[in-house]
Amino acid sequence: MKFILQTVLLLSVLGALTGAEIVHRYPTDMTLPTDVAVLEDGRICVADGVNGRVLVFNQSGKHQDLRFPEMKRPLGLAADLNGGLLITDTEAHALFILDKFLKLTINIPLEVSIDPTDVLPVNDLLWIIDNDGHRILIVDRKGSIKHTLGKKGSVGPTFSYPSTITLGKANQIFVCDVLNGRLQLFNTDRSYQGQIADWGITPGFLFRPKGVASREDGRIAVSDSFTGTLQTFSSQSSQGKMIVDASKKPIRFKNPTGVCWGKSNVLWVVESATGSLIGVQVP
Amino acid sequence: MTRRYWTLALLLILMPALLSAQKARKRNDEKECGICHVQWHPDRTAEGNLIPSLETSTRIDGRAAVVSHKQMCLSCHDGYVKDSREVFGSSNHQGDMDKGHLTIQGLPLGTKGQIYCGTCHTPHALKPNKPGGLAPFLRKPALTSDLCLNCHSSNGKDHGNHPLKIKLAKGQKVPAGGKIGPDGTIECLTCHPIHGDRPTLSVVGQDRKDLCISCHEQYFQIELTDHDLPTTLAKSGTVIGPNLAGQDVCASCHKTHNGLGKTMWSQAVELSGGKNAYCISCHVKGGLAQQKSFNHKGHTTRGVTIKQAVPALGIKAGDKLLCISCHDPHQWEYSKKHAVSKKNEEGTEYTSFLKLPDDASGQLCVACHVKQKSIAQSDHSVSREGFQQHFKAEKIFKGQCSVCHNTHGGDWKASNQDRNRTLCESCHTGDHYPSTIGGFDHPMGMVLDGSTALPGFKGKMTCTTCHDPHVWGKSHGESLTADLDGTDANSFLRVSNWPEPKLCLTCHEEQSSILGTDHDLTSGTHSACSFCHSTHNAANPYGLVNAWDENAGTTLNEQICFACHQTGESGSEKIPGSWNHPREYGTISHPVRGTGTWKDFPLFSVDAPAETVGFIDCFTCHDPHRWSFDPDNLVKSGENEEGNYMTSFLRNPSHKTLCTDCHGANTLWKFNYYHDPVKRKRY
Repeated sequence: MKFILQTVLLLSVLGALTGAEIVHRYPTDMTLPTDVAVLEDGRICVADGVNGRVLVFNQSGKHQDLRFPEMKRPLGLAADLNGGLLITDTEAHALFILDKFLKLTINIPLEVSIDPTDVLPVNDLLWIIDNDGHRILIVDRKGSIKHTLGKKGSVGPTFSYPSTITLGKANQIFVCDVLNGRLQLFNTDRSYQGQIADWGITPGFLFRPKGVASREDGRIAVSDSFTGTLQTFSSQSSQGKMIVDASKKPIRFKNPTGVCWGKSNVLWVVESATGSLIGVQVP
Repeated sequence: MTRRYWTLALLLILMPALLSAQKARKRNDEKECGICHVQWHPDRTAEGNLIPSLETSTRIDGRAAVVSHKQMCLSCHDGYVKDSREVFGSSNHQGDMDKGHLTIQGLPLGTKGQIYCGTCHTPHALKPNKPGGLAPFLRKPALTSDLCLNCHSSNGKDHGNHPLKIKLAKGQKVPAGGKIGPDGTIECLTCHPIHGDRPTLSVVGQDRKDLCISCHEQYFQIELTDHDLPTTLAKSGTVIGPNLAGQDVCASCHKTHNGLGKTMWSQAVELSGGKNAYCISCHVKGGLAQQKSFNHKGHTTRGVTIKQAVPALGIKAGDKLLCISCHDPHQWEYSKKHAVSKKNEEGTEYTSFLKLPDDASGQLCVACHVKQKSIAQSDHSVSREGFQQHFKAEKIFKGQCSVCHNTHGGDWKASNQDRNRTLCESCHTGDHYPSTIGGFDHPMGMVLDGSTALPGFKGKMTCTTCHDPHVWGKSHGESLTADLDGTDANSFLRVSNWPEPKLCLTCHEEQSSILGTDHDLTSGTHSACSFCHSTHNAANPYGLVNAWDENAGTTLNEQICFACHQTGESGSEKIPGSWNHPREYGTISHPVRGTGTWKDFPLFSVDAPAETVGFIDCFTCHDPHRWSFDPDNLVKSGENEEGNYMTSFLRNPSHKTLCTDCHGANTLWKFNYYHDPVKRKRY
């Protein structure tokens, strides 16, 4: 037991000393890709909406196109609870539910006024970000809206262009609130839990938060598309922590958007401006 | 005191809230601008601030203007605030773009003179909801093309470019994804997206078909025709013209921008040759369409101004006659029902890019040549059995006009052969036609002396001198005349010959003296001429006489004259009792004697005029066209005026005849002996 504790402590210290490291870089012909999702079987999906497709990467970085006629301009992705994939499409104004073989099983059309940028499966319901509507829609898998959360604003459970959503530990749901420069925190029972971080241009603050992803240990990774940086937060504190390299300098990306944790503490980052998928080993 | 206390207490209570509100307002103000102007953020100079080090296109207050860097724009327009992924992902109008040869006025450029996002956009100018603004935040209205023409002014010029500011016509559609101006006008954005992977809407590679067809659907009948050069040139298999591989059918002739002239011509053409030069530049020896080269033969295309509008051909009064007056280069066949293929199909009177067909009614030609329209109702209609048999025998098909006329191949002026006559005789001497000629017909080829307005062929008489093959008769208009029996008033005669024989008298004016005499036998169907003469298929060649009775006499003259001057006929009251000069003595004619012309004292053989030596017969002394040789007695004084030695259709007075040459003083005695049975008895 003592050995194990010592090993963990040592690794932690080494990690702290060595910092984060880019371990995968997959440049592609994607045009301003947006979101990323890691499936249960380890495959990584990236939304390439301009080209009307989703790229599905295997562990070695080889990828295939995923297309189907109903899909016009995918933007948000999320791994479904059954191993499948959820896709939001801002041109088709639809939510697509794919099985683990990535076959379209359900097409949920949404109202044209809804601008779905991300989705999160929570039990039997789906939490959909309505970006232009500055709110969250909670629908069942038939598309019936059960609840809505939020409105446009900057105080309390409000949003100014919410972008992405993720499920953290202890039934906490984190929503990236882009122009308010913060994370909004809800409970799965829809109760508002407050905000994390605030708009700013220094470490610990967020200028253009875009992607949000929760690690098993509760750390919430957030990408900032303007500063090109990644930070992590805990649900208990607004104090952010820059993801830095061994020299303690923030690792910079060109317009990072969607993020998603993979295996072995690899944070997959979509570098939108270069059309790349980048894997960062985060201690 | 109490009031002061309460006021102070209230201030103390509200102070934190007021300070907080003020701080919040300050923060909001900072954020309102700082959301983009990050360098105005209070922490911009803080140690470890996260503002990226960016190479910017512009500078503000001497510092790199991060605010206008593409990364700042993209931080919102990446799909998560405003979805402009396609815009930023496109290769068209990218930030930091070299301006190339463009002259840009009134718009800001980057520090290196390049185009950047802020060249066209600023959030401080036109808002999306302003008229002509068009999202997002343009410096000048784009829907009115103002913004575009700021840089692309040459593409907005009238000539050589697709016109702007014109309203869509009925039936024209806005190209998919295109935008029209505030007044429904065609603008740059109608065809061009400012951003996007394609420089032009609905264009695949170099193929603009889907774009052009939105408005110009009617022109796409050109596809697969010989004018579809991307198809026909590709079929040739060799490089014989411009490389149009992959381009649309319009590219054969048109460029949307920087073409030549109003038609935006894409190929080299010398416009000094007039509008026909567009066609002739290909349809010329050595040109792309040299198999159908224009040779300046046939129908003229120069210098003709069309006086009256021809709606059927889309011609307005005052238009010049051009190739496109008859041809529509976009349409192989007028009715659009003829399926074209890639085969090099030979044109017919129904195809050949004609606006109208030369069909059985000659639609195309009679649209202008209205006076010729009635031909289709006449025996000259190609629908008639004779033509049909001819077509069947020759395995050809011709339209109403092309059966005789060759619009581009006919070279009438270059040949000395009387092609009018050849053309007429090609039918009227054949077996297919009832009105066959070729017997004893009016001679042709005589020089028309200019006193007549009748047309000839190179100044000589021909069929069309008397006949207008297009018009059966002026009094018939456009009514059906086929199968009618011809009269002197119609029969395709150019001038009506009835009741007055105007046509004949046009040339034979001296014979007009017959009118009003006892020989003027004008009837309800025949003129004074045609009673005795037949222009075609006459009974004999001499005078083309048709009044003929072989049993009436023994000589040509007798058979002609006694056809009437015999019992029971119209001239029965004037049957000469005795008339014949002894025929065994030959008489030498005036020409041989050198004393006059043959007509002064015509001599004859039994069956023909005798030019040198002959005998005296009826017409020797009588001219049936003149009542008297005396000009003062030409007109009869009464209906039944009895003739005498001065009249009686005598050709000359006795003393001017040859009689005295032979008979001297005995002339009168001999005359009476041989011509007056009563006096003969006295002798």
